Amino acid sequence: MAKNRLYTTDAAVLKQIPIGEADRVLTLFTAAQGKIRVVARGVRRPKSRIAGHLEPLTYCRLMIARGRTMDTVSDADTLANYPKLRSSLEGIALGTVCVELVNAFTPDEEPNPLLLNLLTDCFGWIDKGERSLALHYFEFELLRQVGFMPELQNCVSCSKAIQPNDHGFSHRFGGTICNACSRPELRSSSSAQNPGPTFPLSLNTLKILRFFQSHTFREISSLKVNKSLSQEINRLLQDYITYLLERRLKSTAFLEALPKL
Amino acid sequence: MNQGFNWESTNPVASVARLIDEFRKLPGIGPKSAQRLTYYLVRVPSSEAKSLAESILSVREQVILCSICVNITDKDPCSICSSYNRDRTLLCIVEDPLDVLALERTQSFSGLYHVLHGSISPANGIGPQELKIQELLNRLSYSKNPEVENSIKTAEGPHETKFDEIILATNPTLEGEATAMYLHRLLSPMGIRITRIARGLPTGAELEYADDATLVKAFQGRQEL
Repeated sequence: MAKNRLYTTDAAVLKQIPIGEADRVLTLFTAAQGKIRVVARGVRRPKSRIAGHLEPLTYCRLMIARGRTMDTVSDADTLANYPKLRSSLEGIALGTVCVELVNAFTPDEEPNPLLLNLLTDCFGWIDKGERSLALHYFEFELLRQVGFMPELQNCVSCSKAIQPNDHGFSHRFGGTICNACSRPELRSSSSAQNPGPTFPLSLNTLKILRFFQSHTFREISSLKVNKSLSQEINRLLQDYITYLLERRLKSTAFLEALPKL
Repeated sequence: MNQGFNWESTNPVASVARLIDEFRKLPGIGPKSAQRLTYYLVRVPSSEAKSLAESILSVREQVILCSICVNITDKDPCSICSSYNRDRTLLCIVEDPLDVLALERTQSFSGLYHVLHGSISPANGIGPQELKIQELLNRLSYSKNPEVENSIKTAEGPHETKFDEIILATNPTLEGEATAMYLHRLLSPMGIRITRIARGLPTGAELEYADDATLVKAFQGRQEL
């Protein structure tokens, strides 16, 4: 049976690039098709009926017409536009990190409705003022959903249970590693057992990350996390993400520069 | 689409192939458009083609950035910055030189401009340091310092005065809003009145198609008749 020329989908707008006279190419994360790129015609003109519904960090319902090379947005309506997120620099910076993460970790046209729910939930948390914890939880959950959740209970090398204050973090093996397995002589060997460089991981950070593993964001948001602990969680997750992507996220530089203003 | 296609290998006339390849480098020009433009230029009188080539060269040779507002100009300072008829207490900050043209077309703003040459876009790795924000800060610190003001007075054209108002006229997009918020935070300690251009429904628009954010802004900015 021939496919319908028009289809409707709910999507978060990840990115937009201007093309041609007044058009944009949008990167959407949709419920039904995963990450897709579509053309939105005329949206850079002030009289565009759909431009306001297609801004990045918006969750919207779209009607899309199939095209030969690229599909085209024919109609759009906002489902949620997160006004408080969009009206603060920190909100925009955090939201942009979230969409860049989704864009970087997801292949084209592979549906992941759970990840879309997580993304829109995270926009909602940031909108309500749950700032840094929301980003940490989002990063952790995203890693779980794309198959890179760090192992935090046992040593990733010898599989023995991790003992308090006897642990580091191995990016290469993706989790906690006991001090015995992270010895320099083992690190220098070229075998598959080489865990690579080990990074420090405090007991408190480990406890928080384990809490992330087994609790919902509602439970996590009641945690009191001091600034230094939050910075350590941020550094650990960012370094691990950088290792997995083999590049630094572009948007984190802006987020890190904000407190200096 | 084959992005790496080389016209020189298929086109026997090397100069034609070279021009097609040059046109293809322009934004919004695909391989077919590049071919069409090239074969159009082959057919037009040579005077027209020469005029086009000279215009391209003169743009590159004569157009510079104004040392005050950073807008593109052929003389420094530009005609707006060196005009005696402008209101030198108003400063309008815009993203691109084309925005200056659009605002000048309205003939409703008589102040000065500052062109940022872009907007903050964290997703594309464009931060404040990639924009002409340092030039803006230098300009504002000059206008606040009476000693520097005296030295500017002696230069050609009118001098910068202390700005009473800075109008943030960046685009009402996510990037434009982020830029406006960043500048507001950066410039607030200077004690100058900072305003943002209004947002709402454009002329000819219909309410039912407007997004929530635009409608909220339109109601917030309502005016008594």
